Amino acid sequence: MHLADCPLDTDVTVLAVDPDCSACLRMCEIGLRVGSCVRVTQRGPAGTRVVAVGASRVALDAQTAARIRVAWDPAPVGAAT
Amino acid sequence: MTSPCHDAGGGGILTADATSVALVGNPNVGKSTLFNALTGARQSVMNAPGTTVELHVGTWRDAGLQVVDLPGTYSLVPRTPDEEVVRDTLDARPGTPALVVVDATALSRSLYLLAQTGAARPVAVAVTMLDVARSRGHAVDLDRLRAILGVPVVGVDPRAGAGLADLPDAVRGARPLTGVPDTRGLEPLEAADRVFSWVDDVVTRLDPPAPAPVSRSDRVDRALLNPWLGGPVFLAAMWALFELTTTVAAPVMGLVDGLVVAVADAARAGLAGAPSWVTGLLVDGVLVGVGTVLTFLPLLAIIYVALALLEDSGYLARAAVLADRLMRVVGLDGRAMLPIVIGFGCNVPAVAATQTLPTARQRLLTGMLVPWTSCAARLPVYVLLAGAFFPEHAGTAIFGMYVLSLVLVVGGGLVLRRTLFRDVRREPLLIVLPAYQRPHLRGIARSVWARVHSFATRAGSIIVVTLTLVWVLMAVPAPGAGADAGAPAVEDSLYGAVAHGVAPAFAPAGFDDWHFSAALLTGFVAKEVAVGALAQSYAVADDSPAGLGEHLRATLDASSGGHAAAAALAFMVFVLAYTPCLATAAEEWRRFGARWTLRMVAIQLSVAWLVAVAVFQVGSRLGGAA
Ligand SMILES: Nc1nc2c(ncn2[C@@H]2O[C@H](COP(=O)(O)OP(=O)(O)OP(=O)(O)O)[C@@H](O)[C@H]2O)c(=O)[nH]1
Repeated sequence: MHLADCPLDTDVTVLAVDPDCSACLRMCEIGLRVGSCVRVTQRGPAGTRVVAVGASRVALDAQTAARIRVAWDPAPVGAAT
Repeated sequence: MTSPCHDAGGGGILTADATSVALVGNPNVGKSTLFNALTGARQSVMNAPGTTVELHVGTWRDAGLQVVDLPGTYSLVPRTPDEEVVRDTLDARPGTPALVVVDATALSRSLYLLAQTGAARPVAVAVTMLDVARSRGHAVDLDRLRAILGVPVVGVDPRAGAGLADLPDAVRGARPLTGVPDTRGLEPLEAADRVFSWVDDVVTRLDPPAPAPVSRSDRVDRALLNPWLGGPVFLAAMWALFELTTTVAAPVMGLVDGLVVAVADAARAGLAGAPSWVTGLLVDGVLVGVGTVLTFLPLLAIIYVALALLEDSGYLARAAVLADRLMRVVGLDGRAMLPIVIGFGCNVPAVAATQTLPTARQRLLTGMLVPWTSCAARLPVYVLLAGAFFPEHAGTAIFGMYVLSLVLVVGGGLVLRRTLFRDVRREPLLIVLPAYQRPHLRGIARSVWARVHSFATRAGSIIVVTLTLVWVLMAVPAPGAGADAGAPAVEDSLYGAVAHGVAPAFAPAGFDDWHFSAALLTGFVAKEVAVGALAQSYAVADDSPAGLGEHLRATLDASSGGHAAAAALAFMVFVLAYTPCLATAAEEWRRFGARWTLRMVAIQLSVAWLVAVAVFQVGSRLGGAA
């Protein structure tokens, strides 16, 4: 499943970030990296997603959200910011 | 006091290691607020060598240090020229301590930058946003953080000044971090992984409580970023911004203008005995110049307050998200929408509003597009000409000007992105949304004052000097015009001579007549006086458009070889596309420096000429064929 397809308010873990993406390193630096626990908090216009990364919120466009592969989180891991 | 220091050469931004400190932090962590609180008014702005990236340098009296506020960045592996400046400035002075500003609501992200910064240089940490973290149930234990990091850590709220007294000692005690992995020679992604394992370790040992799953900001975003509601709310915000620039600002500007006229009259009366050139120079030159600057101040203050409210409340980042798709067409950040909307009211605050864009190149690119937004001052020129030449279709002609204005902005953006701005990459949307919060009025007042003051002194001096020069050109008779007592008629002045001189350049556009070129010269100073200048050049009152219209038709009939309507349209197009006014140019000078401003004026004049010629050549042929 990709971040773009995630239901709202559900904890998921990032499995992979498309390495071809030019902003791959920056996504990782902002907190969207393999292993982090994230949650889609809002679907905006034109497929935009707002994602909770720890206590902070990051907005992504539809294409970027489609580059992040995630899986259901078995147990909420809130501590990672 | 803010003082100009553009294009400072050399690498001397950070002075001797022991006497300066660099402020480093992610975007929006409160770095600038902290910088302002530490240095007060003892600041200056300079460009990083060879760039248009601005650095704020100030004196921190309590610590006896010079502080440099570096652009916000997520990483020392740069993606933009602004971020390159951060890396280069730090690299140039490896021993200079850095005060790293850490956001309590985004610890991992902040610690990552801290690790990169503090691996080899002394660092101290100032933690901001503790109040926001606390309100989200995510409090940070600063004592534990200090113990884990082994460097000084101080909690601050720069808006209220809390914690600032402890910072001088913290900076004095700054030292490099220990235990940060050595990433030299590694690929960036691998290096990031290593650093993040250190970050994860710190965060795990800190063991902060899990944040509340749904915050107050999330609930507000449910409405403001809603696919259906977000757009209308955004449009309403843009409409309000436009109204502020026009309807709200106009009476205040009128009031200041009235005051200036009253002062000018009083000064004229007071100087009754003085020679007429002294009165002219002081009143019509210098005083009118100062008056022009003063009338812009309330408008700028209003827009600065509005922008600060948008930024502080957290809505600006949402506006960037909402406008992203639209602005992406031109390759601009969503936030570029604000200056462009404001530009349709007035270009001067619009250029000022480019400050909301995240990088220097984006600010410059948007600053180059703003002058093509058709500001309210251009409307009277369209109304006069459309009324005189297309009485049946005046509305359509004026509407066409606004359409063309949008075409110029979009087309200009596309062309500039492929030429001078090839380095401005089309970045995917990836924006950290700050929490919504109540704006802090004292902080806003402080920053608005600093910005208005900077416009008044830096752009203001350019305006006053130029307007005084214009007065001199109008007051001095052209050689051979005969030296009667008193000021010469416009046509006989040096100004008239210049207008005559440039008129032939407009022959291919059908309006090679000195009345029109003189109006364009005056319009360069301020569009709102262009109509008055036309009327004055025919010696008719500008409140009798019918009489003026006849003169204009007669003139253009002669200059265009019988294609007066095409020439009038070409003139309107030229007015739309060339340099909007002296105040805009002065503001661009202040923000982007002399070289870019001159380049912009050259581009505006060339584009205006080319489009006007195209309109006349096509229009006259179509008209001839009809
Ligand atoms: N709640 C809260 N808000 C803060 C604090 N510090 C700063 N702010 C606000 O955070 C916003 C961003 O602050 P700035 O000082 O502009 O941030 P910056 O780090 O300079 O941002 P860049 O210019 O992008 O680098 C402003 O609205 C500040 O008023 C804090 O400790 N708590």
